[in-house]
Amino acid sequence: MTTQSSVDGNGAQERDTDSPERQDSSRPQAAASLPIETSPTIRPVLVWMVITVALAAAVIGYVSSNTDQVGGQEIANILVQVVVVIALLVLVRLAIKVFVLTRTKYVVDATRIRRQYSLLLRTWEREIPSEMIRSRELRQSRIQKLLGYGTIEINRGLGDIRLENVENPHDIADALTVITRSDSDSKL
Amino acid sequence: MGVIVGDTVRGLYHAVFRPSRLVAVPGRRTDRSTAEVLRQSWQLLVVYLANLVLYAGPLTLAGIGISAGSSVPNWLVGVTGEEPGTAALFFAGFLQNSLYLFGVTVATLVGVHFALLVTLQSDGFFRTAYSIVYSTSIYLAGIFTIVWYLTTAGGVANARQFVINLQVEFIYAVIDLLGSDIAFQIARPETIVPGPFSVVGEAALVALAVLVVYYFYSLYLGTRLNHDAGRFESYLVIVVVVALPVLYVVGSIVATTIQQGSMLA
Repeated sequence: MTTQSSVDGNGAQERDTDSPERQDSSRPQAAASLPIETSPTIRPVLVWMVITVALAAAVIGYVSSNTDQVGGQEIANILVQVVVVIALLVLVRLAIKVFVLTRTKYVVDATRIRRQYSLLLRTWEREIPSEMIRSRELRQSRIQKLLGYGTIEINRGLGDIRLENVENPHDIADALTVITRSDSDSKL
Repeated sequence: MGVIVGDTVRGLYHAVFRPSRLVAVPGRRTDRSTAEVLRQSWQLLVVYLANLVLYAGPLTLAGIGISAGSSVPNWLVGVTGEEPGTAALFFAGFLQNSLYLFGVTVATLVGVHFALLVTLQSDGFFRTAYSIVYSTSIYLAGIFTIVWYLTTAGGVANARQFVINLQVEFIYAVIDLLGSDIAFQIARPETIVPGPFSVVGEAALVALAVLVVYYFYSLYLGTRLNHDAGRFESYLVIVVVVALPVLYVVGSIVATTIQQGSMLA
């Protein structure tokens, strides 16, 4: 079994093992005052898949029934194929995203924020110690907002961690604020 | 070797499924030291030149550009001589094949960065250069490669003529828009589609169109991610890039009109 570990300049640590099971015994135990363990939802991605199929079908339908407006049957054929190819590429990309998200887990506790996922018998893990949190950004796209999910980006551009499509994103964002504040207070 | 294969596969995956990874400058830090910026710029230049070689090399080896028997352009005679050797011919052909892509890259870079400066969205020239280098050296190089293929391959005559007709019609549309009466050397095509496309020709046209979509999308993403620009500014960048060939044709028409006027005078 091999394990690779790296620490960037801002304290974010990354691990990559070829075993799906994590080796947690050597880690310091979290203070466990607010452990939040959650997995991302795939619902927004599924909505995007439906939108992609619907849009592609609409464009193909329009082009097929208005061949004269797009320049004739030959050009219509090309356009339909272009739409099909692009829609397929988007769907494959989204399917990969679904695959990864279903194997992802986020853990937020008093000492660290961790994101890990297992894929093809390998495990990727990235964590930021709470004292290294410099910024957090909560984003909600229209679809996420409608469904009640959000994406939290911690230390954007500084070896960041993205907690994508999490439920109750405001609660997690508040928890991060508490962690950051209590860490600052303990330093004072 | 394994690293090169791994990087190539990863690069291809990103090019197809995650263009954002390709065009986004790693990290958002703007407080880089001069040495770091120079190092990254050097890496970027190496990436661009490597992709240029990957694009122009096979074209030159395929005999496109300057080959034995063809005359050497005047501007290259000083370098290669009137009767150049094989290496000089290859080098001249490579240079010729690279120049167009290089020219379009520079024009796109200037146009995009100008649009970002005007909209006060620029986070630095390097960030623009980063996305343009990747966009042009992958997607635009792909577009040019397919155009070259259509130009030289057999069995794709209608697809080839279709691409030519589109360009000619575009030039005439600009001439009409300006109300100019200058005569273009190629007559306006009676019909854009000369006839049914072959299977290969149709596949090439589909690939061409998909690459064009990717090219514009990568420019959009580069602006959004590297400069934290809004949707409007990013669409504006696309408009500027689309306007570049229009400006080129307008410039050519104006130059020709002035030239004709001075000849008459």
